[in-house]
Amino acid sequence: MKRSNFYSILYVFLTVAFLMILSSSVHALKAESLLPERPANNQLVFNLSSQFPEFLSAQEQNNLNFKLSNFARETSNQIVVLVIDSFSGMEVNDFATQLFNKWGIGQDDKNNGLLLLIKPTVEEGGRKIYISVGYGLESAVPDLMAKRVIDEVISPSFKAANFYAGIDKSTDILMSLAVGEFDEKVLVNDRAKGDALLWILFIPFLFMFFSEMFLSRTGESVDISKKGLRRRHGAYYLPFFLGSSYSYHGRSSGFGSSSGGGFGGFGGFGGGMSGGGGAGGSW
Amino acid sequence: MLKKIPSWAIVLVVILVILMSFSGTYNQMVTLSEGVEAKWSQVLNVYQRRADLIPNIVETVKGYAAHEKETLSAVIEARSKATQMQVNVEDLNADTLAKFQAAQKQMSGALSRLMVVMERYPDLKANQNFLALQTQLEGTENRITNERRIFNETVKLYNTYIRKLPQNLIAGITGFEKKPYFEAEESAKEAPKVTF
Repeated sequence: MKRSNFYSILYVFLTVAFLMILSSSVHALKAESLLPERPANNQLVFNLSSQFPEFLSAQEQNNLNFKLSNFARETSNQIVVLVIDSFSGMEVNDFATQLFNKWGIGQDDKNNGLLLLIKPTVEEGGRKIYISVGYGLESAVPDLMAKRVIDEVISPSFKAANFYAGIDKSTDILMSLAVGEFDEKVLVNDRAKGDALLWILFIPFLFMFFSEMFLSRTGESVDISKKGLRRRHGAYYLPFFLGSSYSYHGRSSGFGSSSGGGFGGFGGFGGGMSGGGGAGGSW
Repeated sequence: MLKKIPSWAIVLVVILVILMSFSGTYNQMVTLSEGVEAKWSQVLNVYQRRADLIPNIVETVKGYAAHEKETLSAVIEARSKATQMQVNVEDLNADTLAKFQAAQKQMSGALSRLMVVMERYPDLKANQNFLALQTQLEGTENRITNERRIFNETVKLYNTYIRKLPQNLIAGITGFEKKPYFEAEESAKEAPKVTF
């Protein structure tokens, strides 16, 4: 090869590469400065209020965090409780929906998040409660149900200054509502696509299972869906394999509500979206 | 060193760069345009959801306030106009969007007048069915606000992209046009206010 040709080809490649890098400028994302940032402490219960820093005691906040983190880990539904002083001049529903989407509550493929927003300050239109519902939970928690939870559970408790009881009871209800739609499916799906490695480890067991079936029912076709197979295996073998961190009741997997980072908490926010579903109230 | 580069190499660079940026830009426009179309169907969905609620509201109100005929028929009329005013995504331009928005605005106005009238009927306000419908209407209005905002954000991304310098030439050749926004009119602020 002639030296000049080599340089020419090098020149072609380098210039094209350089221009391509230049042209692939990334779109700057729109800054939503009015909305508070999500605190990076891997929790689900936040008190950002400076006027009511004691809205929940540290113990109460920990209890709620513990309950909701366990729930998030077991079912992948994320329920966030946020106490805040102001909606930055926005309507409560608009603020709740935009904050929900900015923080990405719930999993991005299921949009299975819920946000319980509480504004205990009297300024800017008075005290407000709002439940914002992710797209994926709209049929599990319809607006009417959110409204009833607020009017029949949260408001009465808050009026009696039982803030913890109101949040505790209402999140219990929201949890059971959310599970009504999501629990089973989520558990099966998450395991199914959880770890490729897991399935590699599983193949011997699958093989055993299949051969057993063939041996025991020769002549009969194997009429079992993959899903059913996974479910059975999931139920029997998974916990042995992966220890407590993957088992259904993963409570012993090093969760610590005060530990902040690391693997504790609930594994992080997933990018879920809300379409404006939910309802509001006050007390 | 530059002397050694023959002209064919330079020509090749130019052609490759043009081809690459052309197809990349074109594909990006298609993606952004598809995004706008998807958001538009979301907008239509939430408006349809509101239109679907109205017969129930009208029926419930009739039982308590039959002599508010004028207000009720205004709502029914506005609803039928709004449902007739369907804009397919291919026909989406500043003119059709303005017409669509006007029809929906009329419906919002008729609905909010109905809600004001309802304040005079305590029996109706205490009716569980009516309260349920009110909550649903409120939720639907929230969804409309949200989908409109998302639609506008998506259109903004698209418009910004096709109007910037290298892209606007390609957009001109391939026929990508600027898409319209929802106007943030006063009606957004006077969206039927449901009070409890």
